Amino acid sequence: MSAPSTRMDFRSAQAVAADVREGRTTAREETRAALARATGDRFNAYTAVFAQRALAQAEAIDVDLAAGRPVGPLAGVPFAVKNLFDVEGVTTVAGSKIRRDAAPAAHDATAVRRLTAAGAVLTGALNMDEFAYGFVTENAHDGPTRNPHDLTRIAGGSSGGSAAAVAGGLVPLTLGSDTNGSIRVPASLCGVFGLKPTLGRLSRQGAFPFVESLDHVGPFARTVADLALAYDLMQGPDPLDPLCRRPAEPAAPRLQAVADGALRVGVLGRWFAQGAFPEVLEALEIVADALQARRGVELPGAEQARAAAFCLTPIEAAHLHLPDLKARPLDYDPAVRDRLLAGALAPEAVAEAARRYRPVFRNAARVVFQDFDVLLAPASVCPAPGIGQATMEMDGQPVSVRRNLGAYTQPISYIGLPVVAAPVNRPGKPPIGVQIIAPAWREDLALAAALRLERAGVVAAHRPPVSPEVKA
Amino acid sequence: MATDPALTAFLALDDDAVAAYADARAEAIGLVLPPETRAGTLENLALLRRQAVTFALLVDDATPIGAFEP
Repeated sequence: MSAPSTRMDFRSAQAVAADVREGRTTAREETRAALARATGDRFNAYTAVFAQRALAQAEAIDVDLAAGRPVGPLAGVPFAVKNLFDVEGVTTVAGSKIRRDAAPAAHDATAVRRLTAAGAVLTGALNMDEFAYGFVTENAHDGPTRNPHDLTRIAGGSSGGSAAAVAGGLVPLTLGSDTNGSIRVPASLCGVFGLKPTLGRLSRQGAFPFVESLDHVGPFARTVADLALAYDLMQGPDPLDPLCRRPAEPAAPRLQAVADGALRVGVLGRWFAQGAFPEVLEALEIVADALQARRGVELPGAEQARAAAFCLTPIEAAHLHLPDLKARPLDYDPAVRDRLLAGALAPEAVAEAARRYRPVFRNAARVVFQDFDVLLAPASVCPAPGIGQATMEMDGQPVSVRRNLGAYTQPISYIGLPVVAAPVNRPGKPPIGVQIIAPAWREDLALAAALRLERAGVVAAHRPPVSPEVKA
Repeated sequence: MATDPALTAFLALDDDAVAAYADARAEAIGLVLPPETRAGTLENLALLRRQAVTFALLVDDATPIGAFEP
C-alpha cells in the first residue's frame, strides 16, 4: 500500500463526504491522508493524534458503505478538536501541565459524540492557550501554534490549533471553544470561518470549563455551508449541560432563502472602532458596503461590558483553580497563572457586579436589534501579531497584545449572542475577519449574511502560501 | 449603587495600595504568592480594579442575580 500524501487538502468537509459516499475515495484513504498531514504538521496545531481510533472508525464506515447501509452526512470526513474536549480513553489536558496526570476521559464530549455519530472521523487534539485563557496560543508547555499564512505569526487563541488546522489544510473541520473570543479571534487571524453560537445552544458537556457562565463551543470550517452543517449536527438539548435545553433549530436547510431575503445590517461604532488597525477598518468597510450596512451604530455600554467580562473571567475561573493555585502555582503557564492569582485575590463582589451588569447590557443590545437583523464589528483589532510579540500600537499607544486582541469580541460573548467570524477576501494580504452578530438564538441570520457574502466573493477562506519558511 | 464594603474598599484602592490589599487577602484565603508570581499578580490585580471601576458602580448590589438568559 502506498504512503498517503501529506499535501494540504483544501476540499470542503462536504466535498470530502461526497467523494467518500460516491466511491471516488474511501474513509480509510481520507483518514490515512489526514493522519499523515497531522504527523507532518508544520504549524504545531496538533498536540495528539488518534490514529488507532480514527482508522477503526474509518474502516467501519467503509464496511457500512460497501454493505449499502446508510452513513451520516459527514461520513469519512476527518476532524480534530481543541484539547479541552473529552475524548474517551484520553486525558483532557486543556493545554495545561497540571492535568497531564489526570485520569483519561470515560466518554467523548457531547459535541465530539454528535459529530462522530454523523460519520466524522476524529484524528486528534489541538493546541490552545492553557485552560483557554488567552488570545495567542503561545502555550508554555506545548509551544506556539504558527499561523499557516505566515509561520512567524501567531494563530490567535485560545483555539489557535483549531483555526490553524483548518487554515493549513490539515482537516476541513475542527471544534473550539469561545469564552471571550477564542473562536472568533483565531478564525480572524487565520482566515477561516468560525461560529460562536448563542450561549447554551451547543452542549459544553465534556469540554473542560474555563468560565462556566461565559463558555461556548463551536466549529471552524473553510465554507459557510460546512460551518452550518457542523453546527446543525451538534444542536439539540443535552441533559448533561443544564444550559443546553433548546430543541434543535436546523439552520442549513433555510440558509439560502434567508440569504436571499432582506437583511437589515448595521456597523457597530465607538468601542468597536477604537484602536483598530487601518487594514481592519478597510476590511470591515468592504463587508459593510457589500451588505449596504448603516454605519456608526452605537451599542451603549460596550466598554463597560468588556470590562465586566474582563473581570468576571479570572474571578470565576479562580474558583475552579484555587486548590492548584495553592498547591502548585509554578506548574501553570506564567501568562495564565498571574491572572488567575489576581482573580483569586479580587473580591467576589466584583464578579457579582459583573453578573448584575450583564442583563443591563443585554437589554441595550436587544433595543439595537429592533432595527437590525445583524450587526458587524471587527473580529480582532489587528492582523496576526508576531510570535513572541508582547506589545502593539493602538491609537498611537503601546499596549499589550494579550490583553487587547479580544477587545471587540468580549462584549458580545458576555451576553451570549451568536456570531459568525468571516474571513474578508483580501488576496495576498494577511487574513482579517469580521464578526457578524445576530440576536440571541438567530444563528441562521449570521450564517445567512455570511453565505450572502461568500457567494458574492466578499469573504473567503484563502489557501496559505505553499512553502512558507519558518523565520523565528 | 454599590454598598458592599469589600467592593467599595477594593474600588477605592489606588495602585500603590494594591500590594498591601493583596497580602491581606492572600492570607485570608490561605494563598501564598511565590516570588516569581508577585509582580505579575499585582499588576493584574491593579488592572482588574481599574476595569471594575468602569461598571461596578453602575449596578445596584441589592439587585438579585438571576440565571442569565442571552
